[in-house]
Amino acid sequence: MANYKYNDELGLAADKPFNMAILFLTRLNDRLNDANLYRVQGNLIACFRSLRCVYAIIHFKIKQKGHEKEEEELNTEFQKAENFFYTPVTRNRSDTLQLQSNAITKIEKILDNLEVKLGDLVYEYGLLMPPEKEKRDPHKAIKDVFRN
Amino acid sequence: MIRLDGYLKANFDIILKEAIPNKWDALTVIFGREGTGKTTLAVQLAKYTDNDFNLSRCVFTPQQFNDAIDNAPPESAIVWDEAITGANISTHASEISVSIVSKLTQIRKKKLKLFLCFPYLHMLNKYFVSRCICSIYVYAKDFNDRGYGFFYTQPQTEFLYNYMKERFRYSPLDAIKKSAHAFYFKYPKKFYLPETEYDDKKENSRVNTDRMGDKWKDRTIQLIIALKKHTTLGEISQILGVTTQYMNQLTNKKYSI
Repeated sequence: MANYKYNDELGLAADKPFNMAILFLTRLNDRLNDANLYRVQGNLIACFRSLRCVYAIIHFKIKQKGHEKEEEELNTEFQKAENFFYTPVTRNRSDTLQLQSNAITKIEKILDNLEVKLGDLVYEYGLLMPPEKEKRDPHKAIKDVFRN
Repeated sequence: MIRLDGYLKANFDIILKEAIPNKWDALTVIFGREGTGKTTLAVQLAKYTDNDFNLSRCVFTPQQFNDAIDNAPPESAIVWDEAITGANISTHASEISVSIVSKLTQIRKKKLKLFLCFPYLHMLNKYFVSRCICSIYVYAKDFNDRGYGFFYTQPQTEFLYNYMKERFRYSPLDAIKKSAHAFYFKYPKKFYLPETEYDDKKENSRVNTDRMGDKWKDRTIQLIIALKKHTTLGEISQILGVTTQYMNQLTNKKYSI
């Protein structure tokens, strides 16, 4: 990661296959992280869209032979979530609030399910990036002498 | 009371509170173009790390540095201004450089805080790059706007040195823009030593080092002349291990024998 950024700053070798591969992986991993973040924030539609993006990015792997089962499962889950988001909410009923809270818990479960499944697939395909190293604290920079 | 930038203070506090009590010493290389304020920063840091720092611990020549290392009490700060006189890569094999390097390797127990002011990092002796605990690049943004610095950790210093020597060997200062530093800081202009006395000491030591070289050359030539009265030039050249032609050149140029 560090090397890639470094080269990019220099404007050198940005279009080399290695760097392009890293770009692809960072894009995918960023979407996964986004989904997680939106899920925590309660922005469920954004979370759903991020997961759709992840699905779209790794679709080239899913459509290969031997993955039909996963594809079907994911499609059904996405369909369920879509039904919740894109069907009109019935108003003017006495139990609207109750219905809404039920719906939210159901959607959250579906999204969790999707996130877990997509995460597993990404891991299985070897596309999951290790977390980027935390930036060192400049207050203790001098301790870098012992880098071993 | 010396005021330092927050990050800089935190790092030098680590030296004072962790490194020195655990029997480590700290060598800091300060580099940057001439006149950008290396000495000002070095003196500020020396004063911060050692309350008793004064002009006697600010040295200019390798001989003075050698003496200062020997005579300074433990845990004191020493500033070697104009370290190019002894820490230059082109003179790394000279007697004084070798003696300084060997002394520095053995002096760790004295827990000294050493500050080397050196104009260009790519001209520094490799030993100091490996030996330093951190380095600081000092620069000015305009003729009347000095006092900016980049702080490099030891691995970053090594990387920068390598980058200056290899990739940017024809424009070494460009390497600074392209390599990573730990943090950026500013420092005040205040010079904590008496300026006139500092200038006098600097001038005196410069003049004395200039004379030293000539003095030894003159003495050698006079010795050859004296020996020539008793023995032939060929015999002397055999003893010294040089050609007679070289001896003739040396002696005939200045003195007609």
